[in-house]
Amino acid sequence: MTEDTIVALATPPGKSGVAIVRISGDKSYNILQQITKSDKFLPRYMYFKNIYLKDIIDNALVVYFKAPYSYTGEDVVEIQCHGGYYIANSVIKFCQENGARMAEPGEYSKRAFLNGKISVDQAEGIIEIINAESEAQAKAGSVLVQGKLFDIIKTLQTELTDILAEIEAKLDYPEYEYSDNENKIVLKRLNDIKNEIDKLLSTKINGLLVKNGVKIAIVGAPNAGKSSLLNALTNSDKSIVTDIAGTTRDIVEGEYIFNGIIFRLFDTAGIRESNDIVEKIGIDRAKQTIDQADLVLKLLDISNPIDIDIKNKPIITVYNKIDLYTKKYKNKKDLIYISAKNNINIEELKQIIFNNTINQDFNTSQFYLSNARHIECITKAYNSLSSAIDNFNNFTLDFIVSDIKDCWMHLGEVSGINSNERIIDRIFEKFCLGK
Amino acid sequence: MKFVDKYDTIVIGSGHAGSEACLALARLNCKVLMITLNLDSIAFLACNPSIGGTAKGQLAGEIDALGGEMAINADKSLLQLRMLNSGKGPAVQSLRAQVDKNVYHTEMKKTLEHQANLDILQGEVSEILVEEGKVIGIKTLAGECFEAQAVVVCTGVYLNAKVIIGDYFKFTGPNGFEPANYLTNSLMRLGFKMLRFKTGTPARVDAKSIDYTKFEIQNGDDLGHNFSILNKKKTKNKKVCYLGYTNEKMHEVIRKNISRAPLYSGKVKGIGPRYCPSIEDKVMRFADKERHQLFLEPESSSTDEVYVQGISSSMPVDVQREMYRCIPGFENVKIMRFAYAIEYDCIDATQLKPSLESKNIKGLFFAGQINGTSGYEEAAAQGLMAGINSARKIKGLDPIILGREQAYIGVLIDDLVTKDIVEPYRMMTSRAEYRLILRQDNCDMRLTNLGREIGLVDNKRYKAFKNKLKQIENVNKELDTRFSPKQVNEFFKLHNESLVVNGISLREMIKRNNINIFDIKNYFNVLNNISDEVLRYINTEIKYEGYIKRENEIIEKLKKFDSVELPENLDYSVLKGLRLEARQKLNKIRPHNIGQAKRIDGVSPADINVIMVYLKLNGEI
Repeated sequence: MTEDTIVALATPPGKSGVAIVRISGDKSYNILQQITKSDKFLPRYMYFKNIYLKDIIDNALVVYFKAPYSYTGEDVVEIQCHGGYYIANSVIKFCQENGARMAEPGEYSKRAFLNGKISVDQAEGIIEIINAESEAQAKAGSVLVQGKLFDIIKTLQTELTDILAEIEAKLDYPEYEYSDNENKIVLKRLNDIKNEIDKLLSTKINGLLVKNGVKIAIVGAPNAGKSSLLNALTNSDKSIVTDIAGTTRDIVEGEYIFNGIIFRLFDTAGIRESNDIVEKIGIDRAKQTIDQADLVLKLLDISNPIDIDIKNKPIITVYNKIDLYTKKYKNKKDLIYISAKNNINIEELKQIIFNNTINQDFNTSQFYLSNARHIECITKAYNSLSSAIDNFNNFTLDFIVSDIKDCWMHLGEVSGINSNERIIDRIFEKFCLGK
Repeated sequence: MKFVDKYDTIVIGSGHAGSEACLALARLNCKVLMITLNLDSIAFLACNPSIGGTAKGQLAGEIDALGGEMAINADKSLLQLRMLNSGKGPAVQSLRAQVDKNVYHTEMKKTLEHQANLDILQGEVSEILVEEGKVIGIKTLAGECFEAQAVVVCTGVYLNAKVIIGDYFKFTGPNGFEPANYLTNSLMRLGFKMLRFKTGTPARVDAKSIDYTKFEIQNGDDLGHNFSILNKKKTKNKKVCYLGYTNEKMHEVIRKNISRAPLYSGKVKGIGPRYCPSIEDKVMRFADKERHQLFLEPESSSTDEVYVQGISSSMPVDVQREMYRCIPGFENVKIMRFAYAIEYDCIDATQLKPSLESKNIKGLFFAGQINGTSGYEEAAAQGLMAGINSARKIKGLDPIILGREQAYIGVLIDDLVTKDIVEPYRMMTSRAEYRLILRQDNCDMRLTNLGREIGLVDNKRYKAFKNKLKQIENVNKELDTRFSPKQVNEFFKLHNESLVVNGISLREMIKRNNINIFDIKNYFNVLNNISDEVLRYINTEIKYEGYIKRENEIIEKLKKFDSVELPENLDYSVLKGLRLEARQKLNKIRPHNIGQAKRIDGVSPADINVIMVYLKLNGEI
């Protein structure tokens, strides 16, 4: 029995030196060839290769397990790339674009079992995994039911059901009367839904960032006020401050939650060349911290701004100690004036950090898409609907319906509403048909 | 027990299901007895005098492609043929034939009488004889027993049938034919769960009393062929239909008398179909609609009776007369037969396997309205499949189960045995998820090879099919012919298409939005000696290639689920890890493969995983 090719992160999500992306299924080998732009891989040999991602070339250790000699018993490819959400996510995205889909929870184990790779006594365990996962899904589902996403998807589906019922009624009942103008209205309604889905997708944020929290390095000259900024940021929710201690030579960690997302703060020793051994260790660590951060806060004392040169990282410049002056300052997208001591503009800073890490176009609705599977389904729904709209005037309605239904089904994978009977029921509710 | 005679199979009933079942069985060399309440009710068209319609045209086409009789018989009795939805796309285009209901009956009766291996007997079956879980024959009300290895029950709406007209009711079948009063009890004794459904039919009026000038005429189409693929002669349109409308005055009469409608007074208990509402139902439920369509269809060349499609009713006769006369053109109308509602017993078809055999009693098959469907074509399709599968059962062959991607027949039967049907089931194109592939224009491409394997496609049909394939092959070769910009740009200009700088093949030209295969044929004088039917088919296949390909890919993906068979006697209540609802549903339906299990409402992907693991544990896969 041949299955789809699936992909998932095999290592726990989060910052780590190395992340392993595992692909299983018929297309794995082909994906490996494409991502490395190489032809030949011997099974169970590890290769050091360039991987060609959308906007970046990285290197990775790759290994190919030929079926049936693999964990799942199918062709399996493992790509060990650099840790961090960006690279791993890009690899997963590449795989999805080349025919793999995100694995369901427990799916690797299930396949391993079905292909006889796990022994019979482990089977009970597998059933438990499947049930645990489905229970978890059910729980996630019940949260969804109350949640905004479910409402949005349901509304979209209801509108689509209406449109489908209208078209299906026309198709199944040739004698049903309707005007040509109705088609134009349908097209307009489809466009409205497409815009809604687009809006929904624009709230898409990186799932891994949400799961692991956003790492922020605070960089600044010794007396720029790093500790007080850290306190100001974490003050609002003292209970989750995990570890604030030591001198500025240690890396001090604190965290706060904004818009439901965890932001982790890393203080760094002042960066300047030094011969002091203790300080040098601190500086090396600081560089490492910056390397691993998702965002750098460059903190400057407005009364004595000493600029620090940092490359290849998203940066927000923060001018501290504005309480010393009475002047009005204007904040920008990546530049803000605060007083850590007097708690001025701290919430604004949090918003700017959020905008610069989670989602640049983030609106204030406090709602976002973070589940990779949801994003995949909704993106597919968007593509199907776009196809319906693009072809609307060129193809007959029976073909257009197949696109609209596709869209409806993909949305249904998020909401759980996927019975065709709903459309048929709607036809009869809404239209007066029959002999 | 003393048997009068011995048959391979006995078919109870002679309607559209019974007729197809008998012919299929006899043609597959089984010795068959058709036993029916009344020989004058053979292939009786109790409602519309028409065969086909959206989705139903495809069903009839599929029956034809498999070697069944319905389309051939429609051609013998044809009054008018139309291709419905011709402006709405190839997937929903369907043939509909107006037929002469008297000729339809006599021609089918003649075919049955001339069929070898088939005996026909008038009589009422009172009992199905079963021994050790296996059917052994039937007993008639007159007390005679007939032995058989298989029995196909095709009793239509006749089980405990009750006709209702207003406050008046009578235990009778359609058209005054006798009802079957004993078989329901026999089935219940055998453990079957029965349902009670309702349907209805409009009045028949005297053509001489209609002012046709107040109606819009509806002509047939000249399609260059007839219903059956075997019948390539010019369409024989002999009669016309008419379109008219109800009005506010009529609706007022209905509203005034609504308390006398049995549906509203609670006299009708059966569950009626939503797609076939009575006019009182339409008026009450769609109060904002000012008028409803109605069609006048001739019942036969040998009678003046006219069928009034669109206004079925079970109002009392005086109300019927008053409301019909409100219709423009019906001012002086004379009703010859009143509209009525009819209630009848049927079985819950989830008690059947996809072969249409009972899950609990070996050799007992069911087909047609007894399974909760509505419509001649739905019945005939099931009759054909029950005939084929009961024949195969006797011969020890595996049943033929058509997939949902293969035929509307597959969709129909899968729905019947998988879903809880709560009203008479009518086929609609929207029920088919692979509608773009299940078209009227490719019924034979989908099924005739299979029909040949089964043994129902005779040499004549098979030869015609082979010829068509040859034509298609030739056309496909010719379509690769390339034309220079000079040759085609004038043509493109004519059709408002963008011009080309390089050469272009005929095939690529067909893909243009404003051009079809017939435009090309006429302009370039190519594709000669190819039938329109073949050209239409190829035009669709090329124009919609992308969509068709995508649908085929989905089908390929889902096929793997159908390939994992589930043991017939699997007890789902002992499967650790299944949710309660899934357990109950699975035990009720007992799906034959994972694909069917997936389609059961209330069975989740996690449940499917549990079943897969179980199968593996037990070495089933």
